[in-house]
Amino acid sequence: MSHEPSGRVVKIEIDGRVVEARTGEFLLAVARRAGIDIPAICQHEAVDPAGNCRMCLVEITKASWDGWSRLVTACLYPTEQDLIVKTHSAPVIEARTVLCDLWLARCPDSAYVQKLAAEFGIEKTSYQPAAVPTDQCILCGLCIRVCEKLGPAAIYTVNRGGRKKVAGPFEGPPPDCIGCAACAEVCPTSCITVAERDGTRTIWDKEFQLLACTTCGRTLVTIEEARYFGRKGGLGESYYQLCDRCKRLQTAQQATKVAGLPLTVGGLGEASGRPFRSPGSLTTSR
Amino acid sequence: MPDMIFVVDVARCSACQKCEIACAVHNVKEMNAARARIAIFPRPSPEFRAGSARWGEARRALPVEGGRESPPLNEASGTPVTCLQCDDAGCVRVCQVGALQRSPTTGAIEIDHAHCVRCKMCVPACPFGNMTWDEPLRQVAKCDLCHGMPQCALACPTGALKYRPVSEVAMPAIGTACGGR
Ligand code: SF4
Ligand code: SF4
Ligand code: SF4
Ligand code: FES
Repeated sequence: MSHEPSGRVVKIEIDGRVVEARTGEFLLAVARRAGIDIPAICQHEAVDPAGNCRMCLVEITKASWDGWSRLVTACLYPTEQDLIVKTHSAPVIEARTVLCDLWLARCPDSAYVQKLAAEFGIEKTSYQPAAVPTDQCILCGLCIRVCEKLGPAAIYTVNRGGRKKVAGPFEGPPPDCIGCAACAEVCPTSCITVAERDGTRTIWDKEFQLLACTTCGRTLVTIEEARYFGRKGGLGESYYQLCDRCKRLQTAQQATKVAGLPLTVGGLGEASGRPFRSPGSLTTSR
Repeated sequence: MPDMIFVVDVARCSACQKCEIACAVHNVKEMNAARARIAIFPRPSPEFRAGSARWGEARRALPVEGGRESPPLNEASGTPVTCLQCDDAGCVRVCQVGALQRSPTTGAIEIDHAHCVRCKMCVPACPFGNMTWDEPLRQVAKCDLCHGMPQCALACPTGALKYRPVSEVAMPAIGTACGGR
């Protein structure tokens, strides 16, 4: 999480336990560090919290609040002095149950949502299920935030209300998408489809050519992804000619050329190999 | 600054592959060398050269494993390949979410799987092929020196892989180690 708490150290109470935290540090992070479990769906360490799914609701109060308490999203709520947090109180469970009930109405076919709802004792939604179940997306927005963090920012939410969904501009294939499939990897409901066949990958209705090893033909990432991230990282295209296996063989061959001499690698940061030289030059010579 | 260093002495490797097994068992709980973060590339020992009649005979008699033909272990030697924990590492450069960070204690570049979004770009970014994709785990995988207790070095019977105090290793001048700057 890029949120750096700079506040002073205070003591708060979570589920009856006294826990140390810094003011400004988000409650979810504090609880996790203390080994206290709070369900969180749209939270991912790679991106800032957004408070979209509301699964991480907890009840907060203070001794000075005179019995008043409220529900807040733990992923986004900054620690303050004297906070008393309940992660599984009756109002919290009630709120999470309603969420699951609503998700089940929206995505009755989602195995993820079904399982989640079952954990809260819901087999059938008490709301009107979606007439035509649109997709299995719970609109947590994690894919959008991850894509933005990676750079392309290719997808967003379109439409409003019941027709709201994640898509590219005009609901067509997103022009900025590089096909890295990170969105699909982080999606909690696994509802973003990625199809790979004959050296291509299709995601968000956009077809990508996969990068193939020039020796053995293995594939892993798309050509657009390699170009895009390669440019960001300042790597030349010669990096991607071979797959990892064929590169390891090449590394072995080059290291063996100077057979009989010790190859010293690793552990020293500064003193270890530099990546932008031919592997052969990493073999030490006396 | 880490006080231990991982040392590979190619000349001592007998291609027994104990390091690969130790690595796989430790990291993925499976006796499967193909999932290890270190790879041993068998090569004939000097008295058993490729192309010689004995070599050809032995090769024909062997099954092809994972696409590479292994010569009889007792007559072969090998070249170990594992992460170099590069100073200015390609994998670190391409990771857009900061999931790859150098451990201050071991100096190894470690993957924080909670940060990783599995874009897999670090795999092609490694010039040596040491970043891999572990399909059963659905995670990228690399050597992290086992957080300071490299299992491969513990398993190596010949001293080809060692984890030694920096002060005891005769380090070539940094310039030489890197092929000159
Ligand atoms: S596959 Fe496309 S939409 Fe998904 S994270 Fe990558 S660039 Fe963004
Ligand atoms: S994985 Fe590759 S690029 Fe990254 S530190 Fe290791 S050898 Fe260098
Ligand atoms: S796969 Fe994970 S560690 Fe590798 S570059 Fe992508 S986010 Fe970073
Ligand atoms: S994890 Fe806090 S709102 Fe989704």
